[in-house]
Amino acid sequence: MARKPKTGPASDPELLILSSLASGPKHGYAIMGDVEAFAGVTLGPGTLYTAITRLVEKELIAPQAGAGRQRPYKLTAEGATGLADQLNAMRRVAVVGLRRLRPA
Amino acid sequence: MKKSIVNALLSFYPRGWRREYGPEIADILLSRPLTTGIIANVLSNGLRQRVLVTEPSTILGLMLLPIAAYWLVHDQSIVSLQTSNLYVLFLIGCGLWTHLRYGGALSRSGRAGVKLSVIAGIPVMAAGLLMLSGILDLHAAQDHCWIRVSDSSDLLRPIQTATCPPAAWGVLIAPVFVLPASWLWGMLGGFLARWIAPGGARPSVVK
Repeated sequence: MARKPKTGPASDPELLILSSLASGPKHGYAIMGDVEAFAGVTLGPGTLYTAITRLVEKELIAPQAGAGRQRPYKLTAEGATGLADQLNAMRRVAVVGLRRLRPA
Repeated sequence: MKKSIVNALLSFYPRGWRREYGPEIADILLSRPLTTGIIANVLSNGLRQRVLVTEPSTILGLMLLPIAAYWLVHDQSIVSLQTSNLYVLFLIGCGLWTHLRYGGALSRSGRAGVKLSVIAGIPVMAAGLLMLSGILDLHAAQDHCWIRVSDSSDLLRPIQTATCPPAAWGVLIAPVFVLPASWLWGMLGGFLARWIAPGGARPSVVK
């Protein structure tokens, strides 16, 4: 079983939220559940909305009109590009790091 | 009961932020048990949001308030804080932080320094008011007495505390005299910020 990341880029709330929204718009509660399911990271409500605030300010995600009190958020085009760039950079580092860890 | 706790927790967030995100986070908090961890998480992030929308001069001024009050009581001196190197560092830091956050003209950093001094001067002004009303009797310690006069031998020496209690009006308006220097130190901080980060200010935050 994979270890849950506690620090580092894989536990960055902004990256986790962007990754969650890559599969479609979600409201806050759904993002929390999704992040817990795919990354094993429990985002506190305060951390979640602090990160959402920053992402909205950076225009990487945008709120949509919702029926209830919970508004869904969707990834913007800029957010999708930024997420892809970050994940590709992480993959390059991960590939090299894992290869070097392998016994010769 | 739980709703009142949630409302109390959300009151730590700035009003603009609550208007934007309050109902959503309240829904989440009401739908799960309020553990100590969740309360701490919401509180710390609320304070963080508050710091983000509060002007640096207000934050640093409020930080200096208890120090100013302590020095006033401990040293019995109305000028020891304002003439300290620590105070100058706070003023430069205030100007620097203000310019990094908002950018614009250097005079904005100068005004931030003035605002910091006004806030940090509140304990001294309060002491002046209490002295005027006869509630407080502040005696300046000899080592910190800032007024010197010549005696019969024409040598300058500090006035003895017993004969030189600071005048109530003098104490009340004493913080005013540090404002020009505060403006200059704030401007210097802004100048340093312009030199450190010529790129400009951070993006605005939700008010």
